[in-house]
Amino acid sequence: MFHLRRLLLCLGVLLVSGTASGMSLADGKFFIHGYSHLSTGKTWENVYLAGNEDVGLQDLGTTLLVRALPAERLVINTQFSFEKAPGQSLEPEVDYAFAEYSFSDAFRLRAGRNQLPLALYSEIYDVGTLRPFNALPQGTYGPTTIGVENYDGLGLTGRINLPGEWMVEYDAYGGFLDLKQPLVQDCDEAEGGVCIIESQLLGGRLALWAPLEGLRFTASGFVSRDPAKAEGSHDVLGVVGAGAEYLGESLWLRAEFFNLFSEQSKARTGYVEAAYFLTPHWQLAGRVEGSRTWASATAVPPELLTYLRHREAAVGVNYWFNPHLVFKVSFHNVIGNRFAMPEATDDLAALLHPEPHTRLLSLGTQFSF
Amino acid sequence: MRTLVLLLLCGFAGLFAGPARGAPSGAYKVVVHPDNPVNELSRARLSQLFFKKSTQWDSGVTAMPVDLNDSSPVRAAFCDEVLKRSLPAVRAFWQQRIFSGRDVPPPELPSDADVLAYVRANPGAVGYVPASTPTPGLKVITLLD
Repeated sequence: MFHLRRLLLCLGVLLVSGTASGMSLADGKFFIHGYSHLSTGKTWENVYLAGNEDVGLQDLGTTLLVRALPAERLVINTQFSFEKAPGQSLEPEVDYAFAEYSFSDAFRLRAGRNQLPLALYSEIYDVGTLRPFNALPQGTYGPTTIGVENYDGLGLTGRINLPGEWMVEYDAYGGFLDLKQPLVQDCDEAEGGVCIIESQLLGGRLALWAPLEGLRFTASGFVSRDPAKAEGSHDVLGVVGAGAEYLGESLWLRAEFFNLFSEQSKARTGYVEAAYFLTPHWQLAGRVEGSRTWASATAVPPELLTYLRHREAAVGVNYWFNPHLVFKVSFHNVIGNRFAMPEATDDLAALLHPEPHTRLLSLGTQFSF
Repeated sequence: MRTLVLLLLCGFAGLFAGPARGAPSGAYKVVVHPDNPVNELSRARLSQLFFKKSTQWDSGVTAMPVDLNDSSPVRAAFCDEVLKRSLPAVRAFWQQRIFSGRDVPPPELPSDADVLAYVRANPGAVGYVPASTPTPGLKVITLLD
C-alpha cells in the first residue's frame, strides 16, 4: 500500500513537472502553489536522515500553499503539509496560516502562525527545489532548537531601499514557539525523538540585499523562555547567527553560523555549501558542516561525547529537469552521533559505545509548482 | 531496494518532463498607462518594480508590473537586460519569495494584446511588448541605464 502511495506521488511529479507553475485564480486574487519531496538512502553504520543499512526508510511529504488577496493591502497565507519522517506515519500539519496587512513597503504587520525568519532556509524548510541536497544541514535545521519552522504570534516585516541598489529587509516578531530539545525524563510532549517545549519568544532578523542580484547577508536571533517552569525561575534560551547567500546564474553559495546558549547547554553550528551548474541540467554540490554541543548542567562521560558532536562532508550530483523538478544523489561522510544515531535497540552496551563514523548514500527527488 | 528502483524509474521518466528553455534576445518597449506621469525610468527602478522590491510609483500609486509568459523571447530578453538575471534565475527568485510567504510574481499574460489590455485597464500597470507592436492609447517610456 505504501509503495502504491509513492508511485502515485511520482506520477504526480511527472504530470505536474512539464508545465510547472503556480495557479493564479480569481483575476490574480488567489494563488495555489505546492511542492513535494521523496528521499531515501543507504547507510553504512547508524541511521541518518532517511537512510539505514537496509534502504528501508523514506522521508516524504507534500505541501500545498494558498495565498489570497481579499483586499488591496491584505494578504492571507496558508500552507498545509502531509509529512512522513522516517519511521513515522504520514501526518497532516499546518505549517503556517497568517494574515499580513501592508501599511507600506517598509511596514507590514503579520498575525497568526508565521514561518520563523531565522536562518537562510528557515522559511523554505522543505522546498527541495531551492537547495542542492536532499536534506538541509542538520546542525542548523535538524532536530535542534535552531531548526524551528514556525511560531504563533505577531510579526513586523518590511523592506527599505537604500542608495546604490542596496536593500534592507527586516523582521521583528514575538509570540510562542515549540522548541525541539533532546529527550529528557520529565518531557511532557515528545515528537520524532525530541522533546517539544512550548516557549515564549522574541526575535528578529536583518537581511541586507546587495546590488549584485542574488547576494544577501543576514543576521538574526531570538530569545525564548519556558513559562511552565517553577514560579520565579525561567529557562532562558538564546540563538544568534549570521549568514550569507549568493544565488547566481550558475553558482550557489551559502554559509551560516549559529550560536545557542542556555543554562543547561550551549551549542555552535555552521556550514558552508556550494553548488555549480555545469549545464542547465547538471549540478555539482558540496557541503561541509560542523556542530558541537556542550552540556553545562551535567558531566558527560567521554565515551558519550560523540552524541554531542557532528561533523559532515557531503558531495552530490543533481539533475534538474527544469527549475521545478530535480533528482539528487549525494554521499555523506559523518563523524559523531549527534544526528547519526545507532539503530534503536535494547542492547545498552551498543548504545553506550556507538560507532561514530557514518556514511550515507542519499537519493531523492523534489518538485514544486 | 524496491524504493531505489522506483526512484530511478521516476528519474528516467522525468527525462521527458521538459527541459529548461534558453533565452533568445529580442527588442522590447516598456509601456505604462497614459495617466502615469512617468516618461522615463532607470533600469534599476524598473527592476525594483518587477522584483517587487518597491511596490509604488513615486506618485504613490500602487505599481502593477505584468509579464509576458515564459514562452515569449521578449520575456527572456527583458529578464537578461532589465532584471540582469536569466529567466530560470528569475523563476528561482520567485520560488523563494512564494514559499517563504513573502510575495508572488507579477501576473504572466499569454500575448502582447493581453499585456496591452492589462496596462490600459490599470493606471499603475507597467508592462513590455515587442518593439514592433503598436501601442495605441498607451505611453511608451524611455528606459535609462
